[in-house]
Amino acid sequence: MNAPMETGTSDLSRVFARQIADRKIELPPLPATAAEVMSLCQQETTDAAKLSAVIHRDQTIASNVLRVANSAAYASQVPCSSLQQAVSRLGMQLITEVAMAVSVRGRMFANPKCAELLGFLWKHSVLTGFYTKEIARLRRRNVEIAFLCGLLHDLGKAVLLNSVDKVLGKDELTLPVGYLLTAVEQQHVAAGALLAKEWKLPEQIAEAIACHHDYAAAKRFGDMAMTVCLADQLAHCIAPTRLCEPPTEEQLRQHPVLVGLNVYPDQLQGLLQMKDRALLVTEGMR
Amino acid sequence: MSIPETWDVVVIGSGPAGQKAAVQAAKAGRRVCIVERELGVGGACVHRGTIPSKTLRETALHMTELRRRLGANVKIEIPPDLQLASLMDRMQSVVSAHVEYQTKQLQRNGIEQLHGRARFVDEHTVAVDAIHGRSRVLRGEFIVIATGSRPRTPADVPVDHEYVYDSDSILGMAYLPKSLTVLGSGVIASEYATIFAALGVQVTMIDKGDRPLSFLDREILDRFVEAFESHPGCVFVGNAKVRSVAWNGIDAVVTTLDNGWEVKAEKLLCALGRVANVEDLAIERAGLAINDRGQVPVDKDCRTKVPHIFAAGDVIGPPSLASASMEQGRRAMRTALQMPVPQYQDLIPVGIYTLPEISSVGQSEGEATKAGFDVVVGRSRFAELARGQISGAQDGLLKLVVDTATLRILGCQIVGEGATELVHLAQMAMMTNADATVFVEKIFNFPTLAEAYRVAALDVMGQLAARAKASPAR
Repeated sequence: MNAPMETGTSDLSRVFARQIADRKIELPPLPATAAEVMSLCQQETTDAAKLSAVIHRDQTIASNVLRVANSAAYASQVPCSSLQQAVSRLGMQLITEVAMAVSVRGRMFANPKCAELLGFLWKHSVLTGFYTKEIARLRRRNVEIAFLCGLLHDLGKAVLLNSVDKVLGKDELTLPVGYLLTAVEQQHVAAGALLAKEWKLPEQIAEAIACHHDYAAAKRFGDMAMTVCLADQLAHCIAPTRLCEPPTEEQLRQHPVLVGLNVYPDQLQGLLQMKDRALLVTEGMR
Repeated sequence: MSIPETWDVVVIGSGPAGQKAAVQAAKAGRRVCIVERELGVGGACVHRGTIPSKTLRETALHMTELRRRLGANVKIEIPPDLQLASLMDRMQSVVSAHVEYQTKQLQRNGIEQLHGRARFVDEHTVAVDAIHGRSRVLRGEFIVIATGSRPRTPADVPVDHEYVYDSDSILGMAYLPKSLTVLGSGVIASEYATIFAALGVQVTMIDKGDRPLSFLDREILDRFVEAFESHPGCVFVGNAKVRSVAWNGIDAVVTTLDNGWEVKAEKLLCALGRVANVEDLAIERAGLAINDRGQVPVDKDCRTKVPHIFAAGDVIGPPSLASASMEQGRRAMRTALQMPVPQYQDLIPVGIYTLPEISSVGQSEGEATKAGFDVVVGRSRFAELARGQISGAQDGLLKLVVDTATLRILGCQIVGEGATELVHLAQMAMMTNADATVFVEKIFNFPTLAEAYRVAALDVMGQLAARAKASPAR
């Protein structure tokens, strides 16, 4: 463990940057189930039975899949009691998303020292996933992988929040939250890119992580990077957290990414009006 | 509202029709403004339809070629987890190059380009609402509506762009599916069905007609269907009425037919026609109305019932071909500006980029017979041509429809490699009123597929000679 240090934003940001550059930042391995689900998701021979079998082996995921299937966003009049029933109710794609979400959450969003911030981050990530999918649908683009691109876009923040106590060498975090968040904001893209490489995430997701703020830098999937950028802003706007200063609706209407995505004001309004549904889905994955 | 800017010509839409109308007007010395609601010029042709799909087709074509040439010795397969985008690597550069070229052409001709949604304020005025900033108001002496079309989504087909796609979103699929149902059997449906079939996807094409592309010659279509169904797991289901389409929530889109059949596939493409983009235009404020097919009615010179407003391209309905749209745009503008208008061209070739390619010009055997001609049909099978054998394109067929009395060429239909290029020879022969002997007397390169014309023309001569021999009194 490093020696304790007094830290301001720029110091912490520098420490993060150095650790990322030296690849010393702690990168947890991709959870085994998530890796398996991701791999299945990319195979054309995958069917519901194979996916159910993988999920069955992981009690945490299995119970969470059932919980989501019974959540307000997806529940029907008949409660869902078996995994097969849940697969049937939610569909393979959504099961994949839930399984990924649950396993990543367990691994990446569990540091009790930053529980509150990681809780905010989780909610924001799910909301961004929801909106990435809806923007893609609105624009008749790739909806399939959109949720995961949105869900994982800020994975770098989770990496940094998870490792901040080790980086600082302190058991108790006395750092002002503002300092911490500014440093995390400054370094999260680099940390996320490193993790995406380590986890061998699909290129679309890796680019969404690396380029959701600087979408012009995207090499192959600029459209998805812009989609995640807008979804990120929408999520901050409708559900503000301490993670960052949320944009107002007026600031959102002036955001340059709208031109890149060719989203007109009435279409943006339509997305904002999905707020209740978005929050319901997010609550379901809480 | 802002003060109107005055223009000689305002063109709404920058696809093939709008662009050519704008350039024609600019070349005649008029001040032109072109409005486009999408990012970048070119319309659906460049961004969603013709060019992107042809990029994927090119990959499918190469796969087919590779299998044909090396398949016996080398196993050629697409990895199951390959991203669809990887098969269209060149798409973005092709689209960008095309957009750049078209943008420069507009700039070169001094045409103002506006990004935004246009709507009529009155019959001479159009407001353009941008994503950011204030609306601009344009007043045009002439206005051209060239807003194109988009895929039609029937109310009972739940297009969600995740399991059930339309022709705009199909290329956004993350991975190649194992199986695909295609609803419809028009040009777009047939093109995608054969492209995905060539990429190894099991495709089921479903339509109410007894065969796909029903407006084409039956013999050509038989060849086409045979080629399509030669791919493992690919089938055309004709005379079928779809009762319902639904995602089963697990692993398949289930299409239920009226006869009780269920067709399951991982994904479904709904390609049941297109509808004109008129909903944002408020054309009623210009004194216009759409017809019962949802299109803007025009006369043969693309003039609407409001004399200074013209419409061209997909927004006026068939043939909905980029080539025809360009000609309509030019024609509309020449009429508006009282420039000489070339004789109306109804000899427009149809090019269908299926695998194998199909092309047609003029009348088919059936149409010519129905029109009262006594016809003789010359055939040339590519398998009989040296070039066909060399390139492995042996499944092609060229049909030359000839009037027995005058030997005039009435039409030509081709299926097989290079069909969309080859057809132009027949088109030029028809436009110059050449008779079938022209293909016998003139010398072509050897070995080429163009030799098919000579073989077909010789077939015509042979049949006529046989007829004459059988009935010497004639």
